[in-house]
Amino acid sequence: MFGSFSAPYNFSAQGLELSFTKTGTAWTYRRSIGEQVVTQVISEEPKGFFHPIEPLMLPKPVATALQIEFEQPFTLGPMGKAVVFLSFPVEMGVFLTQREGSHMIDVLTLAQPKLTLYGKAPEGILCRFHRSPLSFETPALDPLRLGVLRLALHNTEPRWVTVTQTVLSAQAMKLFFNDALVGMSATMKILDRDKAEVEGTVENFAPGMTPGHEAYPLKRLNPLGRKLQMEEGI
Amino acid sequence: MLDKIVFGSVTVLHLLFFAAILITSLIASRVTLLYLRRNLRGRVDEDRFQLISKLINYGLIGLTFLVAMPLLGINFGGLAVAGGLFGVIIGFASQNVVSNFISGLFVMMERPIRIGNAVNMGDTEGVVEEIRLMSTIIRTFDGLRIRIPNINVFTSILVNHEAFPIRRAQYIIGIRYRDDATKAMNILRQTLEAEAWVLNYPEPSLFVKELADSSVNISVRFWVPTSEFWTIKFKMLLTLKLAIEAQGIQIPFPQRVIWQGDGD
Repeated sequence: MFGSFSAPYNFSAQGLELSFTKTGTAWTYRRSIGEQVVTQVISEEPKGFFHPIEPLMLPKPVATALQIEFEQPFTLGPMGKAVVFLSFPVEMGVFLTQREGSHMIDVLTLAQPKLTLYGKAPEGILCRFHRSPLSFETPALDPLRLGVLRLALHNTEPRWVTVTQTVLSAQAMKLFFNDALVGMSATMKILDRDKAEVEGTVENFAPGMTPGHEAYPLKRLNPLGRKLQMEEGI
Repeated sequence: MLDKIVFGSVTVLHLLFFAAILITSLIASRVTLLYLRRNLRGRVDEDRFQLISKLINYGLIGLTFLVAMPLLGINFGGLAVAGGLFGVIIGFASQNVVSNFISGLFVMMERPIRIGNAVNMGDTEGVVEEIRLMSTIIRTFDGLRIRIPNINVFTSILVNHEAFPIRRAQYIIGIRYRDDATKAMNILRQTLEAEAWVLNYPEPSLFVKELADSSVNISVRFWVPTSEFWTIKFKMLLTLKLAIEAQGIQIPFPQRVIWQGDGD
């Protein structure tokens, strides 16, 4: 599924079809999801990889963070710690390799993108929105649609706090994948009843998983940084 | 040959030195700007980069003149005495130039607009292309290039359409009195929820705004990212119209019921 490819190449699953076929002296890339079809002509025999990427690229890379709203609020005890698992939408990139780095030719998703704002309108952080159930062990999800966020919560307050959401900046997202799972990890340090600090973790999600290619174009310019301060409610 | 006096006590050698310093300074300025562009590209905003590069450029040239002018026999110490009266004359003559320059500096520091922002400045509407020290260049939506003196930018009412990441779109959609307004609002809400660009939060707001002469008017308000505002605003109006019409709800024509009396 995810990983390297060389032409000719065909992949088909859940209504998604990807192919590189030879057309005369050139090659044609074709991707279809339902009725949506994308094609591109490529001059040389394509080699590359198909990876999960930061879920901030669609419909256009305007969001700088991912907001995950919990389907059920989670109440954490005084000074308590817990690890919860949430889902996030998977976006995939098709890359062609070159002498230095790679060139992305397509971004796709089987999830329905939705945007939102974290903070007070009209200011705030423009985010990709996702609603997720809460679980306490790695859920079995379709890796073409949903990934797993392992979120380590730490309540630094000597009182109960209720968490309803988390917001992860683009820089905080380090994805890993294997055939069964797309995953990333983060920590959420709760500083107050409505304030928290969310930081991405670079360690592998599970032993043996492959790191996903980073595609988000504005990472260097994103003012949010690796640690995102949630100051408008948790 | 090099000792030959050209004017006053200035020799050919002095002139050559002056030219060499000036050329070196211009080259140094160009190289510095190229180096900065290469290293700061993608790391700082374009307008901030322009401010830095202009300050460096004009700073280096100014410094060069200060250093090189004594070679031409121009002593700034001596000029200082005459400078008072000269300054007053120049001050009056260059009032507009100076006020534009100072306004330009304030515009660059205060940053009410950035390059690429869609703005309204007086009667001018367009996209900011360049913020110079003396003027600001606007590209209007119908393809004109307009130079606005910075004093006007600084003193006039300026509307920046892209100061915030999101903007609110609003429509009034009228339906027939015989149609179910609650059902219509549900359809409109679901259609907005299905659109990726319509923000989940702040939530779309729908309510019956007016019981008008010919229609029940529903107010529809929703937020979208500023960069896509006009595209989505125009797209959603058609999408919402088609969505309610597909469910048998119609947008009525203006109408008037006339009762004909029996003569009483």
